[in-house]
Amino acid sequence: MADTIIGSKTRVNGVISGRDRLVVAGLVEGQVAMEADVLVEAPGRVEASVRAQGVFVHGTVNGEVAGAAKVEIATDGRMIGDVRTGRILISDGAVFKGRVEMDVTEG
Amino acid sequence: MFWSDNPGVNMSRDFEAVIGKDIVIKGEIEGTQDLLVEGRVEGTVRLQSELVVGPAGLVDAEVEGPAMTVEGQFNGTANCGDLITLAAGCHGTGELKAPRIVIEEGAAFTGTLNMETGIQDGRGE
Repeated sequence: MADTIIGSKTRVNGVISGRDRLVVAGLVEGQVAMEADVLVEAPGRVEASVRAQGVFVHGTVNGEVAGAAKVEIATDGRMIGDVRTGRILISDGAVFKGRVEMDVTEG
Repeated sequence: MFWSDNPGVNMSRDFEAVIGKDIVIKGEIEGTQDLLVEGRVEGTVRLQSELVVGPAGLVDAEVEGPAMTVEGQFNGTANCGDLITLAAGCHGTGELKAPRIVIEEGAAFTGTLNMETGIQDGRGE
């Protein structure tokens, strides 16, 4: 199945929800609530609260990221906001500012 | 279903902006690149490029742009600078305004069409 792609010359202001993977190469403002992964590709920018399975940041995210199983901020990623996640990976060179809260639910 | 073998003309095109099948967007979409909607969009869509509502797509919106092609469902108002195409198998309701409007055989549409021809419809003359 094709991904949902917000192209580099596309802007969405509102609520995006669904079960497919979302790729943001453009600008998304508002709210993102996905049951799948969200990939922010450079030079993509997300100015929104994000809820997703996995959040992979290569571009920019300004907002709160919650409920994610995994958050990855790549070398070219930049993120400002609070993160609540099971696992977080911040690569060397990545920019991050905010609080990290890890859900520790080990049995 | 027979149309699953025939994914439509737009599947062969590459879109840099795609709203996938299981995705819902409520709000505003703007852009300068062609957008394919296979999911659901509610709100406003303002493009400087073509909007394609794919066979599985549902757009319930106010649309502005140069061109729109509907293969799925469209409800709302569309104001296009060049061309609106309602393809075979699509369902549309609302108000469509463009200098060129094409309705293919097999398309379903209920609503108003305005082709801005400058020609009076004659009823008022």
